[in-house]
Amino acid sequence: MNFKIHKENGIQIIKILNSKATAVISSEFRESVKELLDKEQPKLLLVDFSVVDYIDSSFIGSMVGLYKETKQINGELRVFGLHPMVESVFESTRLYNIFKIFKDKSEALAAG
Amino acid sequence: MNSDFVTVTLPASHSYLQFITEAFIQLIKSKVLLRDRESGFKYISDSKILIHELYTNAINHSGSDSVTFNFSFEDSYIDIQMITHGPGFIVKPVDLKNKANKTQYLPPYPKKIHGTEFMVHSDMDYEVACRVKDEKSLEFVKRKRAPEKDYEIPEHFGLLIITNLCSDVSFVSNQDGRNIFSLKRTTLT
Repeated sequence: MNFKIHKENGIQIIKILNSKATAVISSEFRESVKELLDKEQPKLLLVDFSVVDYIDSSFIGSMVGLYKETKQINGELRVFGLHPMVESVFESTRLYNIFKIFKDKSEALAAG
Repeated sequence: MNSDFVTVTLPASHSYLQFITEAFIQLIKSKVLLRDRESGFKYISDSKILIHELYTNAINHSGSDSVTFNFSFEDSYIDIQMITHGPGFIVKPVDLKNKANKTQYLPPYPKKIHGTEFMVHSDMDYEVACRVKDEKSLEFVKRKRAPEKDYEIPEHFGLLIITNLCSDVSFVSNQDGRNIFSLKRTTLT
Protein backbone atom coordinates (compact mmCIF):
# COMPACT_ATOMS: atom_id res chain seq x y z
CA MET A 1 0.00 0.00 0.00
CA ASN A 2 1.49 3.32 -1.06
CA PHE A 3 -1.02 5.69 0.58
CA LYS A 4 -3.11 5.93 3.69
CA ILE A 5 -6.18 8.14 3.66
CA HIS A 6 -7.68 8.95 7.05
CA LYS A 7 -9.67 11.60 8.87
CA GLU A 8 -8.32 13.49 11.84
CA ASN A 9 -10.65 15.89 13.67
CA GLY A 10 -12.83 15.93 10.56
CA ILE A 11 -9.94 16.77 8.23
CA GLN A 12 -8.88 14.43 5.42
CA ILE A 13 -5.20 13.54 5.40
CA ILE A 14 -3.42 11.61 2.66
CA LYS A 15 -0.19 10.10 3.92
CA ILE A 16 2.26 8.93 1.27
CA LEU A 17 3.76 5.70 2.60
CA ASN A 18 6.29 5.04 -0.16
CA SER A 19 9.55 6.96 0.26
CA LYS A 20 9.78 7.34 -3.54
CA ALA A 21 6.96 9.50 -4.89
CA THR A 22 7.54 8.73 -8.57
CA ALA A 23 5.85 7.69 -11.82
CA VAL A 24 5.60 4.16 -10.39
CA ILE A 25 2.94 5.20 -7.85
CA SER A 26 1.52 8.41 -9.38
CA SER A 27 -1.40 6.78 -11.22
CA GLU A 28 -2.44 4.95 -8.02
CA PHE A 29 -2.23 8.31 -6.23
CA ARG A 30 -4.45 9.99 -8.85
CA GLU A 31 -7.05 7.21 -8.60
CA SER A 32 -7.09 7.25 -4.78
CA VAL A 33 -7.51 11.01 -4.53
CA LYS A 34 -10.14 11.12 -7.28
CA GLU A 35 -12.23 8.62 -5.34
CA LEU A 36 -11.74 10.65 -2.15
CA LEU A 37 -12.71 13.94 -3.80
CA ASP A 38 -15.77 12.41 -5.51
CA LYS A 39 -16.98 10.76 -2.30
CA GLU A 40 -16.08 13.25 0.40
CA GLN A 41 -15.74 16.63 -1.37
CA PRO A 42 -13.39 17.81 1.42
CA LYS A 43 -13.02 21.53 2.05
CA LEU A 44 -9.56 20.98 3.45
CA LEU A 45 -7.14 18.29 2.34
CA LEU A 46 -3.68 17.67 3.81
CA VAL A 47 -0.92 15.69 2.07
CA ASP A 48 1.71 14.23 4.38
CA PHE A 49 5.13 13.90 2.70
CA SER A 50 7.05 13.09 5.89
CA VAL A 51 8.33 9.67 4.72
CA VAL A 52 9.05 10.79 1.14
CA ASP A 53 12.71 11.41 0.36
CA TYR A 54 12.42 11.45 -3.44
CA ILE A 55 9.90 12.94 -5.86
CA ASP A 56 9.83 13.15 -9.67
CA SER A 57 8.03 15.27 -12.26
CA SER A 58 5.31 12.66 -12.78
CA PHE A 59 4.26 12.83 -9.12
CA ILE A 60 4.58 16.63 -9.22
CA GLY A 61 2.12 16.54 -12.15
CA SER A 62 -0.27 14.44 -10.04
CA MET A 63 -0.02 16.95 -7.19
CA VAL A 64 -0.85 19.78 -9.59
CA GLY A 65 -3.82 17.73 -10.84
CA LEU A 66 -4.95 17.27 -7.22
CA TYR A 67 -4.58 21.02 -6.65
CA LYS A 68 -6.78 21.78 -9.69
CA GLU A 69 -9.46 19.29 -8.65
CA THR A 70 -9.48 20.55 -5.05
CA LYS A 71 -9.90 24.09 -6.35
CA GLN A 72 -12.83 23.01 -8.51
CA ILE A 73 -14.77 21.92 -5.41
CA ASN A 74 -13.70 25.11 -3.59
CA GLY A 75 -11.42 23.09 -1.35
CA GLU A 76 -7.97 23.88 -0.04
CA LEU A 77 -4.83 21.78 -0.32
CA ARG A 78 -2.00 21.91 2.21
CA VAL A 79 1.19 19.88 2.16
CA PHE A 80 3.63 19.24 4.98
CA GLY A 81 6.70 17.28 6.06
CA LEU A 82 8.96 17.97 3.07
CA HIS A 83 12.38 16.30 3.03
CA PRO A 84 15.17 18.65 1.75
CA MET A 85 15.30 16.85 -1.63
CA VAL A 86 11.54 17.14 -2.08
CA GLU A 87 11.68 20.76 -0.97
CA SER A 88 14.38 21.42 -3.57
CA VAL A 89 12.19 19.95 -6.37
CA PHE A 90 9.19 21.99 -5.16
CA GLU A 91 11.43 25.04 -5.26
CA SER A 92 12.88 24.42 -8.73
CA THR A 93 9.44 23.69 -10.19
CA ARG A 94 8.07 26.90 -8.62
CA LEU A 95 5.42 24.98 -6.69
CA TYR A 96 5.99 27.20 -3.69
CA ASN A 97 3.84 29.67 -5.60
CA ILE A 98 0.93 27.25 -5.85
CA PHE A 99 0.86 24.99 -2.79
CA LYS A 100 0.49 25.97 0.82
CA ILE A 101 3.49 24.29 2.43
CA PHE A 102 3.91 23.70 6.16
CA LYS A 103 6.65 22.25 8.31
CA ASP A 104 4.54 19.61 10.01
CA LYS A 105 0.99 18.42 10.59
CA SER A 106 0.30 20.62 13.59
CA GLU A 107 1.32 23.74 11.62
CA ALA A 108 -0.79 22.67 8.66
CA LEU A 109 -3.80 22.06 10.91
CA ALA A 110 -3.32 25.27 12.87
CA ALA A 111 -3.11 27.55 9.80
CA GLY A 112 -6.24 29.67 9.36
CA MET B 1 39.87 16.46 -15.14
CA ASN B 2 40.52 14.38 -18.27
CA SER B 3 38.01 14.20 -21.07
CA ASP B 4 36.45 10.78 -20.65
CA PHE B 5 33.67 9.02 -22.54
CA VAL B 6 31.32 6.47 -20.99
CA THR B 7 28.42 4.76 -22.73
CA VAL B 8 25.64 2.72 -21.09
CA THR B 9 22.80 0.93 -22.90
CA LEU B 10 19.92 -0.51 -20.94
CA PRO B 11 16.31 -1.62 -21.49
CA ALA B 12 13.67 1.10 -21.24
CA SER B 13 12.24 -0.14 -17.96
CA HIS B 14 11.62 1.33 -14.52
CA SER B 15 13.45 -1.66 -13.04
CA TYR B 16 16.78 -0.18 -14.25
CA LEU B 17 16.15 3.29 -12.83
CA GLN B 18 18.14 2.69 -9.67
CA PHE B 19 20.98 1.12 -11.65
CA ILE B 20 21.44 4.05 -14.04
CA THR B 21 21.02 6.59 -11.22
CA GLU B 22 23.71 4.92 -9.13
CA ALA B 23 26.01 4.46 -12.15
CA PHE B 24 25.74 8.16 -13.02
CA ILE B 25 26.37 9.24 -9.42
CA GLN B 26 29.42 6.95 -9.15
CA LEU B 27 30.79 8.51 -12.37
CA ILE B 28 30.23 12.00 -10.97
CA LYS B 29 31.95 11.10 -7.71
CA SER B 30 34.98 9.80 -9.57
CA LYS B 31 35.16 12.52 -12.23
CA VAL B 32 33.82 15.77 -10.78
CA LEU B 33 35.66 17.78 -8.16
CA LEU B 34 32.96 18.58 -5.62
CA ARG B 35 33.89 21.83 -3.87
CA ASP B 36 32.57 21.16 -0.39
CA ARG B 37 30.18 18.89 1.46
CA GLU B 38 27.12 21.11 1.16
CA SER B 39 27.44 22.03 -2.53
CA GLY B 40 28.54 18.47 -3.31
CA PHE B 41 25.40 17.07 -1.67
CA LYS B 42 23.21 19.47 -3.68
CA TYR B 43 25.06 18.69 -6.94
CA ILE B 44 24.64 14.94 -6.45
CA SER B 45 21.01 15.28 -5.42
CA ASP B 46 20.25 17.44 -8.50
CA SER B 47 22.14 15.01 -10.75
CA LYS B 48 20.00 12.13 -9.46
CA ILE B 49 16.89 14.12 -10.31
CA LEU B 50 18.28 14.90 -13.77
CA ILE B 51 19.07 11.31 -14.74
CA HIS B 52 15.76 10.15 -13.29
CA GLU B 53 13.81 12.69 -15.38
CA LEU B 54 15.70 11.87 -18.57
CA TYR B 55 15.34 8.12 -18.20
CA THR B 56 11.67 8.12 -17.08
CA ASN B 57 10.83 10.51 -19.95
CA ALA B 58 12.41 8.01 -22.33
CA ILE B 59 10.52 5.08 -20.75
CA ASN B 60 7.17 6.86 -20.71
CA HIS B 61 7.25 8.83 -23.95
CA SER B 62 9.86 7.59 -26.45
CA GLY B 63 8.30 4.27 -27.42
CA SER B 64 11.82 2.84 -27.47
CA ASP B 65 12.80 -0.60 -26.11
CA SER B 66 16.25 0.58 -25.08
CA VAL B 67 17.97 3.74 -23.91
CA THR B 68 21.63 4.58 -24.47
CA PHE B 69 23.39 7.22 -22.41
CA ASN B 70 26.68 8.75 -23.56
CA PHE B 71 28.50 10.71 -20.89
CA SER B 72 31.49 12.75 -21.90
CA PHE B 73 33.33 14.34 -18.98
CA GLU B 74 34.94 17.59 -20.12
CA ASP B 75 36.86 20.23 -18.15
CA SER B 76 33.89 22.23 -16.92
CA TYR B 77 30.84 20.25 -17.95
CA ILE B 78 29.40 16.80 -18.65
CA ASP B 79 28.13 16.32 -22.16
CA ILE B 80 25.10 14.01 -21.95
CA GLN B 81 23.41 12.32 -24.88
CA MET B 82 20.35 10.12 -24.46
CA ILE B 83 19.58 7.98 -27.50
CA THR B 84 16.27 6.23 -28.11
CA HIS B 85 14.46 4.72 -31.10
CA GLY B 86 10.90 5.71 -31.81
CA PRO B 87 8.67 8.28 -33.45
CA GLY B 88 10.51 11.25 -31.88
CA PHE B 89 9.58 14.28 -29.81
CA ILE B 90 5.96 15.37 -30.22
CA VAL B 91 5.58 19.15 -30.45
CA LYS B 92 2.21 20.22 -29.08
CA PRO B 93 1.39 23.91 -29.21
CA VAL B 94 -0.06 25.20 -25.91
CA ASP B 95 -2.93 27.33 -27.13
CA LEU B 96 -4.39 29.06 -24.08
CA LYS B 97 -7.01 30.85 -26.15
CA ASN B 98 -8.15 27.73 -27.97
CA LYS B 99 -7.85 24.69 -25.72
CA ALA B 100 -9.66 22.53 -28.26
CA ASN B 101 -6.64 22.91 -30.54
CA LYS B 102 -5.05 19.46 -30.42
CA THR B 103 -2.57 19.98 -33.25
CA GLN B 104 0.68 18.10 -32.80
CA TYR B 105 3.77 17.51 -34.88
CA LEU B 106 6.24 14.64 -35.09
CA PRO B 107 9.53 14.54 -37.03
CA PRO B 108 10.03 15.30 -39.84
CA TYR B 109 8.67 18.65 -38.64
CA PRO B 110 6.88 20.47 -41.51
CA LYS B 111 8.58 23.46 -43.09
CA LYS B 112 5.76 25.82 -42.05
CA ILE B 113 6.79 25.46 -38.38
CA HIS B 114 10.58 25.80 -38.82
CA GLY B 115 11.74 28.70 -36.68
CA THR B 116 8.52 28.59 -34.63
CA GLU B 117 8.62 28.48 -30.85
CA PHE B 118 6.18 26.32 -28.91
CA MET B 119 5.61 26.74 -25.21
CA VAL B 120 6.05 23.47 -23.33
CA HIS B 121 5.85 24.88 -19.81
CA SER B 122 4.70 28.19 -18.44
CA ASP B 123 4.30 29.26 -14.82
CA MET B 124 4.10 32.55 -12.97
CA ASP B 125 7.83 33.22 -13.38
CA TYR B 126 9.33 31.04 -16.10
CA GLU B 127 8.56 29.45 -19.41
CA VAL B 128 10.23 26.66 -21.33
CA ALA B 129 10.06 27.12 -25.07
CA CYS B 130 10.83 24.58 -27.75
CA ARG B 131 12.08 26.05 -31.06
CA VAL B 132 11.81 23.98 -34.19
CA LYS B 133 15.16 24.42 -35.97
CA ASP B 134 14.52 22.27 -39.04
CA GLU B 135 12.73 19.07 -40.02
CA LYS B 136 14.62 16.95 -37.51
CA SER B 137 15.81 19.17 -34.67
CA LEU B 138 14.53 21.17 -31.72
CA GLU B 139 16.14 23.32 -29.05
CA PHE B 140 14.76 24.02 -25.59
CA VAL B 141 15.19 27.30 -23.75
CA LYS B 142 14.14 28.27 -20.24
CA ARG B 143 13.64 31.98 -19.63
CA LYS B 144 11.81 34.51 -17.49
CA ARG B 145 8.20 34.90 -18.55
CA ALA B 146 7.20 38.33 -19.79
CA PRO B 147 4.72 39.62 -17.16
CA GLU B 148 2.07 40.54 -19.72
CA LYS B 149 2.00 37.05 -21.21
CA ASP B 150 -0.77 34.56 -20.39
CA TYR B 151 0.02 31.49 -18.35
CA GLU B 152 -1.90 28.75 -16.65
CA ILE B 153 -1.27 26.26 -13.88
CA PRO B 154 1.86 24.61 -15.22
CA GLU B 155 2.46 21.17 -16.68
CA HIS B 156 5.50 19.40 -18.19
CA PHE B 157 7.66 19.64 -15.10
CA GLY B 158 10.20 17.16 -16.44
CA LEU B 159 11.44 19.59 -19.10
CA LEU B 160 11.43 22.44 -16.60
CA ILE B 161 13.63 20.39 -14.25
CA ILE B 162 15.95 19.35 -17.10
CA THR B 163 16.35 22.92 -18.41
CA ASN B 164 16.88 24.14 -14.82
CA LEU B 165 19.80 21.80 -14.35
CA CYS B 166 21.39 21.88 -17.81
CA SER B 167 22.21 24.13 -20.72
CA ASP B 168 22.24 23.57 -24.50
CA VAL B 169 19.23 21.25 -24.33
CA SER B 170 18.35 19.99 -27.79
CA PHE B 171 16.72 17.10 -29.63
CA VAL B 172 17.60 15.59 -33.01
CA SER B 173 15.69 12.89 -34.85
CA ASN B 174 18.16 11.15 -37.17
CA GLN B 175 17.30 9.43 -40.41
CA ASP B 176 18.75 6.18 -39.08
CA GLY B 177 15.84 6.08 -36.59
CA ARG B 178 17.83 7.30 -33.60
CA ASN B 179 16.46 10.16 -31.51
CA ILE B 180 19.16 12.04 -29.62
CA PHE B 181 18.46 14.27 -26.67
CA SER B 182 21.62 16.30 -25.87
CA LEU B 183 22.47 18.52 -22.93
CA LYS B 184 25.34 19.93 -20.93
CA ARG B 185 25.60 19.82 -17.14
CA THR B 186 28.14 22.13 -15.62
CA THR B 187 30.69 20.61 -13.25
CA LEU B 188 31.48 23.94 -11.62
CA THR B 189 29.83 23.25 -8.29
